[in-house]
Amino acid sequence: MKIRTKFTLLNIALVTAAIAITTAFSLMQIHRDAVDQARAVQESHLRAFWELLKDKGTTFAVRDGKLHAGDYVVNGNYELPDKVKELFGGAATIFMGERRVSTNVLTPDGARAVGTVLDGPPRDALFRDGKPYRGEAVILGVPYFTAYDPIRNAGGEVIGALFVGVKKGDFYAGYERLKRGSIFIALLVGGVFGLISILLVGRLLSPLKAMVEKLRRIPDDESRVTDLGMRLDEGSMDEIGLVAGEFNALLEKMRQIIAQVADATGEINSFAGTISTAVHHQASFTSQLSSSVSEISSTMEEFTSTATEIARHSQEVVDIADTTHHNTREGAAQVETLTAKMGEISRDNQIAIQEIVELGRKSKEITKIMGIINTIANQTKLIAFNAALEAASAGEAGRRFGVVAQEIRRLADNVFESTGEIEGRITEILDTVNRLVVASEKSSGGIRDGLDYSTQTSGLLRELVSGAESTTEAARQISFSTQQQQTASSQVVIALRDIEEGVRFSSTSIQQTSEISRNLTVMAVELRKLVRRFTWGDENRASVTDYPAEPAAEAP
Amino acid sequence: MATVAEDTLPGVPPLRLLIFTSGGLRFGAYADQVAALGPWDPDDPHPHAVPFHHAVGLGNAEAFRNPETCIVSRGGEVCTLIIESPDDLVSVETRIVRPLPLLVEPFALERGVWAAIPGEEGILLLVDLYRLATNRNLWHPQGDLS
Repeated sequence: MKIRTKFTLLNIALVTAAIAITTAFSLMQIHRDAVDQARAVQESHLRAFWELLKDKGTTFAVRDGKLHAGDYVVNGNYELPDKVKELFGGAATIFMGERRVSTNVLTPDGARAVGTVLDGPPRDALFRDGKPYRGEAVILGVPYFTAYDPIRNAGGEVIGALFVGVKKGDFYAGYERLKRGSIFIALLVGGVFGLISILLVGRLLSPLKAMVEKLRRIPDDESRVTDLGMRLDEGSMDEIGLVAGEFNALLEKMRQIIAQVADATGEINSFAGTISTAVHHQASFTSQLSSSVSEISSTMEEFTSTATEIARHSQEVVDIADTTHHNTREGAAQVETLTAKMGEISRDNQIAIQEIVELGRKSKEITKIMGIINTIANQTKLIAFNAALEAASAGEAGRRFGVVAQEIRRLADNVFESTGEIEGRITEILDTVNRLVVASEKSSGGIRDGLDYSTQTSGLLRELVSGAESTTEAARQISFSTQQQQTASSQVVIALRDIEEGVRFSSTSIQQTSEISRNLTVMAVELRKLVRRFTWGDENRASVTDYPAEPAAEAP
Repeated sequence: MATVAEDTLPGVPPLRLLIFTSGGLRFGAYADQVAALGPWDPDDPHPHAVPFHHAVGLGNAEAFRNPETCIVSRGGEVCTLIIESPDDLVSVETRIVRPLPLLVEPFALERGVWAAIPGEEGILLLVDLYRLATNRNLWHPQGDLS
């Protein structure tokens, strides 16, 4: 519904309501005044009725089944009710007891309603409570404004009642005419006011209509461009003019914002590309990091296993070191004993060497003697050869001499063989002596060295005992350190598992970041499309950069 | 080495040979050609003494272990050879003597070697000391014999 229609209907409704409320209030006041007037009129009529009745007689009694006012018989005498109707109009009745005995009220068939019985609240007020009654009552099916007064005899007993009334319909006839006239006038005034309101509202809202017409030019279609350079007419100085001014200011702000958004879109797209590249690199690094962490974890687990093995072995080393320490102390004592024995052996060996050298010297003397014997045997053999040659040249005469020469030569050969064997034996003895001497010298040197070594060894063993103690303590420290290392490596493995979990979480975050980066790029493209729907000049629209529709890189 | 009894040929006298070793080869020289054997003193060498292995052409044989001089005499000339001490003096039958192969015979005769006797201990080369001294011009007057 248009504002113009709303304003018009609202004005009409307000005017109509105002008229209706005013009219209703006036009618209600009139109605209330009419009711009060009716009551006052009824009181006046009832007093007049009493005066007419009292003119007939001031005492009231029922005699012979009839109501008497003085001597005036009321039953069947309609003079007084008719007189009241003649004077004031309306209905008038005299009751004897609860029964109508004189009335100007007619039944539907046109007869006087005598003989009918009073009932309802008036009867209770009159005959039960002995009080007058004022108010509305239905008489013979017709509503009346009524007034009842009790008629009392000389003893004060209620013996009848005096009634005056007027039909509500008759009484409200003028009121109803007034009401209808007021409603008519109200409607007429409302209609006129509505017409005037339509004209005034239409005139007042005409700038707004122009604004709407301009605003309707903003396209709903995405393919069309919205010109942010348009401006509304700010001619009027009223609120509409102010709204147009504010709207123009809003358009200017919007133009500035869109321009900033266009620039920001480019930066967002650039940032999205940078983020995508960074995420790509980070994802690659995270992948390498994950692989490295896995390898380190595997290595550390092996290291932990090795550390456990080392800890076990280090404990064994501690045990061995203890044993070594004990054995080294015993060994040091035994080496000191050995050193003393080596001294005795060295002295005995020197004596043996001297004897062997003496034996070698004597053997060489024997060799010299054997050389002399060999020379003699050689000369003998040479002589024997020459003798044999001479014997051969002597023929048969030298035959025996040749035999002797041959025997001498054989004897010389035997001497050679014997001396050769002796020389061989002596040579063997000398070789043996030399070897013995060399061996003894070597043994002596070895013994001296052994003695020195034993002495040094004894010192070294003493140092070794101290070293074994240090080694034992160091082994204990190593065992303790390896146990700590085992614990530390286990903690490192746990930490590496946490790191591995963190790397996986980082990888997930990177994937999410990559997804966000892609979404950001897509949003930048969508934002660019949106920005391109606005223009405030061709050159400004052309400044909006085109961007790729998809992100340049994706995280692996 | 064959014995005299086994090697004897009827009507042919056995050969008396002086057996010695030189350069790893065993040689047998006519005992009749050897005038005498004598000691060899390296500190007082004979001026005409020639090592046998040089004369025979065996080149530089190993050093002597027990050198002796072998004096060969013919007429008024002598030849002094330095040999290793003789191994033996034996008599052998001529039927076991084998001539040298024709291919090497001229070359061997030039060095005095004229035949060979095969045996279990190896070949015994028979050398004619006269021919050796003549072919090698080793003769010198007997007065030089010291």
